Amino acid sequence: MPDQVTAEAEPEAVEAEPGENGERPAGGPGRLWWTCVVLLLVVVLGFIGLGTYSWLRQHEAATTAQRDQAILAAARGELDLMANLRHATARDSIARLQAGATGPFRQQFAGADSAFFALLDQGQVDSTGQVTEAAVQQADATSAQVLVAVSATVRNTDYPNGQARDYRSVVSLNFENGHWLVSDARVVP
Amino acid sequence: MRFPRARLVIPAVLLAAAVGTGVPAALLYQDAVATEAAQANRAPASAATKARLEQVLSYRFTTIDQDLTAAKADTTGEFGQQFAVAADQIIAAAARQAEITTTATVVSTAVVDAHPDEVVVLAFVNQTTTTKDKPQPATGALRLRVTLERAGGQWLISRLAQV
Repeated sequence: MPDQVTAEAEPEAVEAEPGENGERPAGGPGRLWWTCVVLLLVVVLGFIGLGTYSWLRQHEAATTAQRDQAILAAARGELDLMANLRHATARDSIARLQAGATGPFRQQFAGADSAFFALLDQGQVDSTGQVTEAAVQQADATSAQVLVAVSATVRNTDYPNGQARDYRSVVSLNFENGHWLVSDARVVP
Repeated sequence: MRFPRARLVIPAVLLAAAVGTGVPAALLYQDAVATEAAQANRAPASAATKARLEQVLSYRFTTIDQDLTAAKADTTGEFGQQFAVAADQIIAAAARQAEITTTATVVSTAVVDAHPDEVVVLAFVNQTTTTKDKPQPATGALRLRVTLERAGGQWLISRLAQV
C-alpha cells in the first residue's frame, strides 16, 4: 500500500484505502471522480442531442420557408405578367405565361390565337399593375394554394385614361420537374 | 493523498466540452423554440383573424354601442386607441344618422408572416352595407393586411391596412 499516490500511478491508486477489516469505504475521492465524469459525460451528450434535435428542427423550418418563397415567387411572377399584359408585347407575355403554367391554366393560353392578339391590338389594350400582397394558404411537397391581391390599371379604346381594378385571386400551383407551376388562377368574387 | 494529473484532465476536458456544446445547443434550442412557436401561431391567428375582423367590420345602427364596445375589445395597441377614438367620434354618430347596417364576412385568409408574438395575415373580406338612403345592399370586396398581436392570451388586431 503506497503512502502517497504519484502522478504516474494508475487510476486505481487513488481509490480509498481499505478499512481495518479490509473492506473499502463506500465514498471517497475515487467515487466522487467517477460521479463527476459520468455526470459531465451525460451533460455533454445531452447538449449534443439537444443541439442536433434543434438544428434538425431549424433545418426543417428553413426548408419549408424556402419552399414557400419559391411558391410565392412563382405565383407572384405569373400574376405580375397577367397584370402587365400590353397589346404590343402580348405574344411574348403569353409565351412567358405558358412557361410558368401547367394543366388547364396553360391550356387557356395555348388557345390564344391571332384573332385574340388582333382583338388586343384593335382595342389598344394595355394593363399595368402589380401584386400588392401574396401569402401561402396551404402547401405540401407537390401542390400549393396562394392568395394574391393584384392592383392594375387597364387602358383601352373605351377607357383611354385607364380604369383602376383590384383583383383577389386564389392561385393553385403544382410542383413539376423541379419547378412550381400555376395550374389555376381563380378570381375571388 | 495527491490526484494524478490524468484524473484532473478528464473532468476538465468534459467541463470544457459541456460549455462548448452547451452554449450553441442552448442558442439552437432557443431559435427552434421561437420558430416552432411562430409556426404554432399560424392556425390560431388565422382563426382569430376571421372572428375579430368580422366583429370589427360589422355593426348595426340599432345596436351600435354594444357592437363598437365588442369591436374595441378585438383591437390592441396604438391601432386600438385610434379605433376607439374613431368609433366614439365618427362611426357611432354616422351609423345612427345614416342608419347603417354593415356585415363583413371573411372569405379567405393566409398567413403572410408569423412570429412568436405577432402574425400578419392577408384576408379577403366581403362586406354588405345598407343605409337609410340605400336600403338595397351594396357589396364591397376588401383585401386586408391584418397584423395580430398576442395580448392577454388572445390574438388581437394591432394593425389593419388595405392592400
